[in-house]
Amino acid sequence: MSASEIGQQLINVLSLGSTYALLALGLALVFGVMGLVNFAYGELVTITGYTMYLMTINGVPWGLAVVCGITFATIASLLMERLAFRPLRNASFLTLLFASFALSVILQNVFRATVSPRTKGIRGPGLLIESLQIGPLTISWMSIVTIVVGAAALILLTLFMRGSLAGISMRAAAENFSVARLMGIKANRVIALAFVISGLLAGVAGVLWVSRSGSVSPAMGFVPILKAFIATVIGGLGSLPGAVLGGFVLAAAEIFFIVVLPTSVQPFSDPFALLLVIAILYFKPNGLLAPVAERV
Amino acid sequence: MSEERPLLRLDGVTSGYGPIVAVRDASLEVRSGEIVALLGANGAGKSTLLMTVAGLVRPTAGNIELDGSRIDGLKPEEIVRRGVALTPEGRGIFSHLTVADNLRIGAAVRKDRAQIATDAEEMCTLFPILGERRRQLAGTLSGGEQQMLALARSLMSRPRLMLLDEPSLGLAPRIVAQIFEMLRKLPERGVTVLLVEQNVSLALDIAQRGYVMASSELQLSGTAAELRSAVDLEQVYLGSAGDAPEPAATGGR
Ligand SMILES: Nc1ncnc2c1ncn2[C@@H]1O[C@H](COP(=O)(O)OP(=O)(O)OP(=O)(O)O)[C@@H](O)[C@H]1O
Ligand SMILES: [Mg+2]
Repeated sequence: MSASEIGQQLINVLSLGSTYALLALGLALVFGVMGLVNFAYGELVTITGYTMYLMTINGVPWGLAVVCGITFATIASLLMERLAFRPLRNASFLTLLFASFALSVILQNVFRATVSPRTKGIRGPGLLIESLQIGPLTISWMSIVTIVVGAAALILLTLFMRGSLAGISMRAAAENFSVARLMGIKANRVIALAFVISGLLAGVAGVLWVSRSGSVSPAMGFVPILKAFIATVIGGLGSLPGAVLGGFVLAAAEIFFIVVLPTSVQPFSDPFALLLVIAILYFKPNGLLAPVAERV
Repeated sequence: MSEERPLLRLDGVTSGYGPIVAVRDASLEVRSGEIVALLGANGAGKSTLLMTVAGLVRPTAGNIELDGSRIDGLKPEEIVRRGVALTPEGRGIFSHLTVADNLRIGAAVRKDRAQIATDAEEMCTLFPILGERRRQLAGTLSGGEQQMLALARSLMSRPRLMLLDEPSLGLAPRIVAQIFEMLRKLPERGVTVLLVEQNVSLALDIAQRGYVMASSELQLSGTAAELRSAVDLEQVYLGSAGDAPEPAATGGR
């Protein structure tokens, strides 16, 4: 493989990895403060997609559709917390898990009934499908935008989580919720904030996702939630740096197998990537950057 | 503040975990400026009593009053705003946060930014090691340093009442002595103390009064001198663990 091919694939890894990282972070944040693996998280991506679809077919400019898509995902995330998960605040891990599965199925059926059961195409700005030639590398604008947006979101989130009292409170609550409450951190507020940020991340990742795939469908949230889940497990459930790392590792694994596998088995590159994940977990059962097992 | 009205009063408080009753019909008072010890064997219900006052465990019966107003049934985040800080058993520091961020979280209930920074400085004078380790993750501190951080973090909320759950747990005698010297001076800072300890003689050294808890009930109370002279106290209520520093943590929650 030539140097330029390697460069090309590295850009693919960065682009796919930053999307996965954003998705994984949103899932990990909520898991951290509430112990909930929110399987309805993928539906936030779908909500972003449908918002953008419905707006663009009605002539709303792309930029506005993007902003609304992200906003609706955020509001939906907050509503999930208030209506579905707050009543189950002290429920067991499994109860929460099943509740989020149920919510996911309900939302998918709502999309089927209200919009359409079929896949719909969505057209982004033409620029995104054009490419840029830098030396021997051909880089699509989609990749550049994805990498820049991903990096910006990661930097902003890091600054927020480390520099603001709200961010530090959230990290404290993720480590020990009861003690965080003893410090005066309001349980409802910190959980709501985690859902808001989770929704924002799903929205931003959703925009990238839909722009790349060019289509929306009722069950489109399944792949993003699956990737996010795998990435958080690789990185260590509950660890935010782990979620980012896991996203990039998963992307690297997928692209590696796409590159090395002969064309005839390429459809199976995903299972191969999963095998690699299992191998990682075999050696590091709690993930690469597992937080100390200390939850109250 | 009137002389008669205690800062903290429990009246017939019962609490526990679902069907388990861990505190039964407990009545006690802590007056402003006092250090009051709460003694008792493992499993007597001491931690549960403190957590009930702090709002982490809900009482099923009885009243809890802080300076005359009811606080039972309030959420922990509301109770700390009224000036009650619990330093939990096992310290409960945030190990993934820096020492400085732990202190900042301790002041989460306050809005006076400038004064918070001054107080953080003061904590680093009170416990110089915390000043040196400011930027370090709290999880990398030694047990004694973590206990100091936990105390400093509680002080950052400017409490009127501190509930201390076994601050000597698992620490070397020299560190324990240093910590207790600091605790002794808390009333001078305007902080009243309810102290849970298994190390009876240490606790009675700094406390003016005490209560003894056994099998979920407050069985005995008196001045430190009275409790000390109850010679068979340790055998009757506390087993034989009395004077020796406790062996390492019996495991938090
Ligand atoms: N989270 C919990 N769920 C159920 N039971 C509990 C819980 N925490 C404590 N208990 C029980 O309540 C009783 C009192 O426990 P508590 O921790 O208050 O005792 P303690 O006096 O603080 O003991 P120690 O000196 O060991 O810290 C014990 O029987 C204990 O098993
Ligand atoms: Mg205890």
